Amino acid sequence: MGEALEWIGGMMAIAGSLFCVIGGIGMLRLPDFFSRTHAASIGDSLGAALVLLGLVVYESAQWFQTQESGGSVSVIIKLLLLLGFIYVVSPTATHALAKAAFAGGVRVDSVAAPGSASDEAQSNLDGQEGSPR
Amino acid sequence: MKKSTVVLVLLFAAWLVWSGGYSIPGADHFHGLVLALGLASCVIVLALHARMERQHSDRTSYLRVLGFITYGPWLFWQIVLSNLQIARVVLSPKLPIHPQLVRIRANLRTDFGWTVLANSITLTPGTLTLDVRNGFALIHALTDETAADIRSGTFPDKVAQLEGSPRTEAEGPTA
Repeated sequence: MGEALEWIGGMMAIAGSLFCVIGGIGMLRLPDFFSRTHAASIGDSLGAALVLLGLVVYESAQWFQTQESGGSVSVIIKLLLLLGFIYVVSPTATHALAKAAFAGGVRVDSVAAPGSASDEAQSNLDGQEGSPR
Repeated sequence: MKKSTVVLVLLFAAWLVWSGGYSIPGADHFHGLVLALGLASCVIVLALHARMERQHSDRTSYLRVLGFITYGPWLFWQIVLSNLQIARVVLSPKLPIHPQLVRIRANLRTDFGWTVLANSITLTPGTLTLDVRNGFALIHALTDETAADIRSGTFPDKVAQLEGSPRTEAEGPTA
């Protein structure tokens, strides 16, 4: 039982890391500020959740094996609280960024005509990350 | 007064969890002075919180948190689904995105409800809340699919359920 849980927990953590990598790929591939924000939230939501829940499962495996509950239980509670905090803080920060960008006039449509005057913010953003696809 | 006692107990419990010395057998970490300092910091936080509360009109019951027992899993499932959707979009060679703005209406009474709605939408990949005002939320959607999902209005309905209405709790969301 304990060993199976260890494997499941490990697999979940690996899957979570994969989602973080996918989020990173999305950050690089997507063309404009707002779209990139969507990719970033892949790592923040499912990536973080799978890693932390995987660690919860792994930690409960330790509990099964050693029957020494004190340490594991406090670690599990901390991990779950951590997940709760991430789920409250991460969208708040994302929203603050997005609202600032929107108020600052970053263009929403990724297919804006190049060279138009209002495109300045957009092209500055793209210029730092290499040209969009 | 009763409410502040509940908050104090919760704060102290949180402090106990984080200070985490009780896994060590015979933890001398937990001697009187440390416990007293922990309790004192909780009381200070409570006092600061009471000052904030005076500026604050939207009194949300702490019991509302119980609504998350059903809302939480539902939201998590939505997050899983849209994560898979957006991961597929990001990895597909053609990058089939169609960024667009969507404005949705929601009948929510409290700031708490609006905060939960906006944060839930932002937390779900593929949709991002840009602005909330006058009973509307302005949302950036990455693809047509996510835009259609958000237009269908399940999010505001679920949050309205979570928020509950003052008297008619069992009535459900009004159309």
